[in-house]
Amino acid sequence: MSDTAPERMRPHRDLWTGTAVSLVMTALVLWPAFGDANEDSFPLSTYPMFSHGKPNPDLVLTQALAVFPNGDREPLPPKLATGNEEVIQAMRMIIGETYGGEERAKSFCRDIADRVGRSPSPRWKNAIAVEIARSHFDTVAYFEKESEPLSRRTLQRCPVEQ
Amino acid sequence: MLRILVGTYSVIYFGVRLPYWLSFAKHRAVQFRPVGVLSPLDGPIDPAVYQIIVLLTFVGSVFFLLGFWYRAVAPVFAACLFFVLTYANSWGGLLHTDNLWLLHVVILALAPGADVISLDARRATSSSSPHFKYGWAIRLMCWVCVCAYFLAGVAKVKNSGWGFIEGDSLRNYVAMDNVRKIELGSPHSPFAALFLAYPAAFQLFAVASLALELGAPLVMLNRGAAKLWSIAMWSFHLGVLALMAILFLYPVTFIAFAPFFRTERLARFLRKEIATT
Repeated sequence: MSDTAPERMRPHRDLWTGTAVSLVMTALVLWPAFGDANEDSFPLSTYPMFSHGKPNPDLVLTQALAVFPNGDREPLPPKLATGNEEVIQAMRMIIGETYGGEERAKSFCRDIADRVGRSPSPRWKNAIAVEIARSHFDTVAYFEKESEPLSRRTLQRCPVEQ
Repeated sequence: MLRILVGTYSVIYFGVRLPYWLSFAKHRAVQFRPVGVLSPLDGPIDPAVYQIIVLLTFVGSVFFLLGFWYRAVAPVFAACLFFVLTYANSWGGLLHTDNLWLLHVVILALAPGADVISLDARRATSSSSPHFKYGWAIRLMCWVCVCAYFLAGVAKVKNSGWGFIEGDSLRNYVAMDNVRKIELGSPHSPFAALFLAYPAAFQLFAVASLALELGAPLVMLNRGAAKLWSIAMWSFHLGVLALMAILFLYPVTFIAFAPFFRTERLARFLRKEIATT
């Protein structure tokens, strides 16, 4: 069997291709390590999840709540609150819409109320209003003693039409 | 075999979540925050175009799994997946659950990943054998995996200093994340409350996770160490799922760590089983 020049070159080509791709990809993946750890992106990431110091268990959260006739309030799931099922993206969306101007916040509240009103789930059948509130929690005490917020301020409220 | 594992994951994961990927076509333009290669965009792309790319990505994942027209289709699938995942991360919140999966798909798409156990291989006239042209991709998949975890460890040290190992931040994060999920109407961990009562446990978790992350590149020096590290990281992700209800599905399925193992043995076992039935 003859051994042609292209066939003899193939192992060298494979070596060079593999080495080049490996070096470039490894360099790209490691590149974020040389910059600001908070300059995150996709798919090249610094993976900064939970990397900042958290000296206290406080949480200030802007949330969407369903209000019931007896005064109870229940958090709305991400899909109902924002149309996005991912909780972190939903949280950011709630913040963006609520603090992006009064008209935008009112429109967002009405959108949520509309989704709640149209929801087939019996859980929300009796909801009379939607509130967007900023709540302050002690998250360790939440599990040890009391799950009520330390404070809560209603930012928007709109009726639900069932 | 790695192509089959990653391909199976891709088809199932991408397919089951099709409604989720497609939903980004309906998001409001004001919420668009492009990242990565999409940073130059001024706004979302045409919804119909985006949805076509999503559907092409799913079709591409099937071709990728089957190893059909691999040389042409695999890079296109990788590019489409790259686009869709970047687009999905461009709405105000970066999710870190799909980075490693995407990088592994890109590597496999650039390698001769369909020379065996594929539709292309059934039509081939020559057979494959152990060769550098396959090995570099496997080694690279291992390297990007350890690099990802190493970067996570570096971020902790850069942002928190070595105080992270005291465990207080970790405990507060576990508490905060669970309360956030509860108060945003999302599934949360039923076990977090049990562990929060024991602060010392979080010091142990913090030390272990930082050691595994910063020590990750060292495991590439020894195959046995790499296997043990893979199992330890998999356990770490099970712990994250248990305590924070955060699912990194790709590592939890162990497919993320498959490159550290001789998956061709699994292929030989499957072939033998198929041949004897």
